[in-house]
Amino acid sequence: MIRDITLGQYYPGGSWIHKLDPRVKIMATILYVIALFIVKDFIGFAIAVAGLAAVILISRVPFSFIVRGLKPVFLIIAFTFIINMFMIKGEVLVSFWVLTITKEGLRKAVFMAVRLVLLIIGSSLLTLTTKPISLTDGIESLLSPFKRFGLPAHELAMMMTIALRFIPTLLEETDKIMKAQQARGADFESGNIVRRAKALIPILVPLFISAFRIAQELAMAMEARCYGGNQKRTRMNGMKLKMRDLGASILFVVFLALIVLQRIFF
Amino acid sequence: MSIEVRNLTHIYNEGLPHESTALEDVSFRAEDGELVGIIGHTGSGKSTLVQHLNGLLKPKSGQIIVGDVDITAEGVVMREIRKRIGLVFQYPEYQLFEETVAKDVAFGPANLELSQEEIDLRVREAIELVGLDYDKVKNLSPFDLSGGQKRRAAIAGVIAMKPEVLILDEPTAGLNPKAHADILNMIQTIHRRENNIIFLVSHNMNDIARMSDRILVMNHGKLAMQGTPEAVFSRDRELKEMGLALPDSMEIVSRLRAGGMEIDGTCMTIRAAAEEIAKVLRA
Repeated sequence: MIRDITLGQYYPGGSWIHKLDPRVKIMATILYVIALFIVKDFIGFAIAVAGLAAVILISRVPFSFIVRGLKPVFLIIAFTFIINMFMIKGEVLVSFWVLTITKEGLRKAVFMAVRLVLLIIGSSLLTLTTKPISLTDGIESLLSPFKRFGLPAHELAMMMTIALRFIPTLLEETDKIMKAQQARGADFESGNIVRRAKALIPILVPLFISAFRIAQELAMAMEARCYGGNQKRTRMNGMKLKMRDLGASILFVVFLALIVLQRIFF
Repeated sequence: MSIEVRNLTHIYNEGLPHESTALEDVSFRAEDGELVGIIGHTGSGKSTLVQHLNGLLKPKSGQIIVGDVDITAEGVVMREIRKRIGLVFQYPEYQLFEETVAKDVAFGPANLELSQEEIDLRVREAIELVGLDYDKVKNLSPFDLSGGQKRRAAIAGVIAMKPEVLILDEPTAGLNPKAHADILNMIQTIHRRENNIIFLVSHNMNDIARMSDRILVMNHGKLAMQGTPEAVFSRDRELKEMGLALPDSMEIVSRLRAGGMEIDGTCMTIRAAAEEIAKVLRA
């Protein structure tokens, strides 16, 4: 049941998008997010949607799988939509009781909802098509110019790698502990809030103990293999930009240019 | 009481790219007083199977009938099932959480909503049954016990619920030889005393051969064999193809036979093998 969360999950595949250099994908995602804020009308969004649709098609990640990741943020989208719809003054379309829907309000509401959905799908495509490990490698590489100002790029990336690596492990651990306590008759699903909160103790105590145990074992294993932070480390699989990365970058620049030109001239 | 499994099938992650069939058409039956050993290679579906017996997993198809109740049916009260079927997971000491051993053991019985006197009585009984000194450990933190003692305390937490069917998933994994022997003796004591059904999952063929009345052999999610230890372990070639070994006693006898000794041999313990060899040598 915990495993149903797909936000930030990797969808295994061998598509062209999966194979792109993580640095290219990270930069493209950041720029795409910025581009969504440059857009000011629906024609611009049409271009953004077309670009995103093309990427989804090429990546071969099923659309239903992407939508499942949207569920947790659906409430936020609905909330923004409703607030915008009722709060903006302008030409009145419908009016009942104290609530009025204006033409501008409706337009704005749809506009914001589309932007939010595109933001979320756009950024989740990055994690869906990039293995967590290459993602952190990419971040480390992109942050490394800032090392000379004292930014611990390698340490940050290592912390992220470890945190990501242990999400499934801890989920599995939680699942195991929950089952073990259920086998002893624990009930997590009924009762009021206080009762349910109390029911969490038999899960949380063993989970914390496990987390500390795992962390300690990992630290020992790393020390046993002489891990020593960022002292002139080399990589086994160094990242190299390939022709397809160049091609993808050119296509993406064309896409950005379209968005900017559309904003200026229409 | 009896437990009957009919055509059990389970699929993990159904509909996703990494879906896998963990159990396929498994059927068997166990009666009161039986100790059933379950063996199989890692990933053969043993753990998935025992989690079904306790109602923790719901099968895709098939039934599990405990006594006269189908626990896979809709609307079954899970508490009733867990009262009757106790499951001890691998490394059960990782589930300890209370401040004292006595409180931790009381967690299960308290969830059954028994009276306080009944709970206290069962806690004392269970702690003594697993071979710990009740007065010594009752007020200790479970985290201050040794590895073997933690395991006993955790098993006591399930035994205190007095299940009619007790399932132990690799109860001796990771223990030293002394604690290993102690835990197995403890299981036999409980079995004799309660005359319940015990399912014992293990990778140790010596333990399985010595203790089981009947053995279930799992392979790739299917029930590959079932029968008495003698019947199962005489099919050594098939077992080896599944990546399973023979108990030491059978291995010795079968190698002696391959070397030309005329020995009749289904020996489930080293002692039995020694007697058999002595008999041949004397003749």
